[in-house]
Amino acid sequence: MTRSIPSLIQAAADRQGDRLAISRLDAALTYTELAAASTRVAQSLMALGVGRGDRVGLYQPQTLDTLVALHGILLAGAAYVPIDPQQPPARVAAIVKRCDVRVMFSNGIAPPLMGKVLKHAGPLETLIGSTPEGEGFEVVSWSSVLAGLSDRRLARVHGAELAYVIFTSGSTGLPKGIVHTHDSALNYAQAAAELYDLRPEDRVAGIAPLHFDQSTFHLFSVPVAGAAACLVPEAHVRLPASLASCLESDRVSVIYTVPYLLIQLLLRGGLDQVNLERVRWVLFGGEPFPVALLNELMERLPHARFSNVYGPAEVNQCTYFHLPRSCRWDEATVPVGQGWPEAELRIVNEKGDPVMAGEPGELWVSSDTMMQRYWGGAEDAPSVFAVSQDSAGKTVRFYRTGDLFAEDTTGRLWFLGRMDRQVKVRGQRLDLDEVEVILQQHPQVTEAAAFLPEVQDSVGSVAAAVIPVPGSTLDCRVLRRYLAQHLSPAAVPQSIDIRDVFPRTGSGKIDRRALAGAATNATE
Amino acid sequence: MQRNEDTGLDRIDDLREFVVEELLLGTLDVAPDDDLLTSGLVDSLGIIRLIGYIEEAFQVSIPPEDVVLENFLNLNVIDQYLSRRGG
Repeated sequence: MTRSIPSLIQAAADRQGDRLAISRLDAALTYTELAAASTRVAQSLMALGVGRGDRVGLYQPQTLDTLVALHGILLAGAAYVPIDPQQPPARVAAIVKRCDVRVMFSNGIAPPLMGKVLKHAGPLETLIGSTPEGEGFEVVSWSSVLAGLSDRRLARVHGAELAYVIFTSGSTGLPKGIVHTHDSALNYAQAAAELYDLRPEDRVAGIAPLHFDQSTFHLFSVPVAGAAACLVPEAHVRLPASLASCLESDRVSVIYTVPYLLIQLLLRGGLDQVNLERVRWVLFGGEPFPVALLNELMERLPHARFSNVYGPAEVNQCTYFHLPRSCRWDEATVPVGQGWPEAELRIVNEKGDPVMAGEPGELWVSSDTMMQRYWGGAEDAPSVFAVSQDSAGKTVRFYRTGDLFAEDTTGRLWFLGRMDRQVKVRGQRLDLDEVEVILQQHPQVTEAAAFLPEVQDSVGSVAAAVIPVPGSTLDCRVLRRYLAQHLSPAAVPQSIDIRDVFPRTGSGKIDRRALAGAATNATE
Repeated sequence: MQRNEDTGLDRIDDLREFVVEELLLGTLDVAPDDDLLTSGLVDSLGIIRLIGYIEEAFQVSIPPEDVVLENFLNLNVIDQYLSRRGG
């Protein structure tokens, strides 16, 4: 049998069709229902002209319908492009253009917002589910797509075909698309299901939005195990006490999310008022978890195992560290642990040669869970992939993570920081260069610097400083408004300092470290 | 600042101004019954800032367990919650 995500769903439907596949609050789908509904959606997409390898936009909140649409896209041989409904319209349009998205699901997007997107989204021809203001495109209702617009035969999807393109912050000011195939998605899904011992009786919380790579765990590892994904609505995710009660009423057994949300859950979730005894495993990743808070959370959930997982979206996951059960972690930080058996990890110096044990270096990863390429980028750009021999002597591609790593004497891996200016804010990956590039494009800005304040509150956010053109009346509010039109919300600085001069290093560069040290971040 | 304690409209206007100007940075307008959370208008940091603003502007303390959908779905709902809290 050909290995693909649709064949995985069909296999689960054949094996255990009546079992719960996905739920969201009171709504639910069995595997049989999911397979049948996504087949009709795939047939509709083909009738709308979607062909193999086409990119179809998924610009809507994560509901059961959205996941049916997602599996329908894959079944039609196309790739889904998840787009965060919180992105400014110009950025949504930029992704649509970059990926040549001609058909897009946009159920639940407010018509005025959709109208703004469409002003700039050139290639869009067909919208499914929303009724925007304006003309020049076809609008098809979700109910007709779900009912099936044709009864075409679906061709078999192959593992090497595109499955999805996830966009992330890039240093140039344009979002960067990470391209995964059915093979890389399934290799990850299977390895993760095994590593975290997913079972049919598991109920895995679906917290990560689709544009965030953590979502592939509840999307694809869950059906590998024949388990159930319990989607947590975005509104609940934003209100920790609602998140806690949702996890309780969904009888969730496995949680995978970012430390930021777990900290919100601990501090504001009212955990003493809910019963989360069924949670048996908490996976966290995306950014470091402050140890004091992690210990507190582990005390609150004594029945659960905790694991720190690491891996850029380009490779899904590639290392894990299982925290020892029922005891406090007493080191200053948590290691990222050991490499997956499926992955080959290498810590190298500037020349690409392996460093001595204990020495810091860049992490290179070669794995069958790795992306195929960046969208629109050269497939084997040397800055992205290094071609080298693996331990078996085979010539393979290594993804250059740009993450600084070191291995300690006991073989544990530690994440030390970034080699470039990529940062994590509330679990979201951002590039400070991108914030600077956009700031500098403002006609009244001469120079700009973006940085993370040295003193961070429990929330964390970007800060910036600018030197305006002489005589300008720029203020923080004007600049934040301008940035909000071009950057994802987490990348918009909470404070922007207007200065006459910047502190400089000996070589005349902006001393961003001094700026970060001077800034305090008060959002609360 | 003097505030008319009896009319919810003033309070909704204040809340609306904060949400539109500070959280949405003027990119979109919000009606009192527009869903703030599910439509992607306000993110989790935005909620924390909104609560900070409400606590300061209306002199109430909002316990974490009150920060649920039933009380924060939209501006009308927040206003009703604050009325119940005796604001």
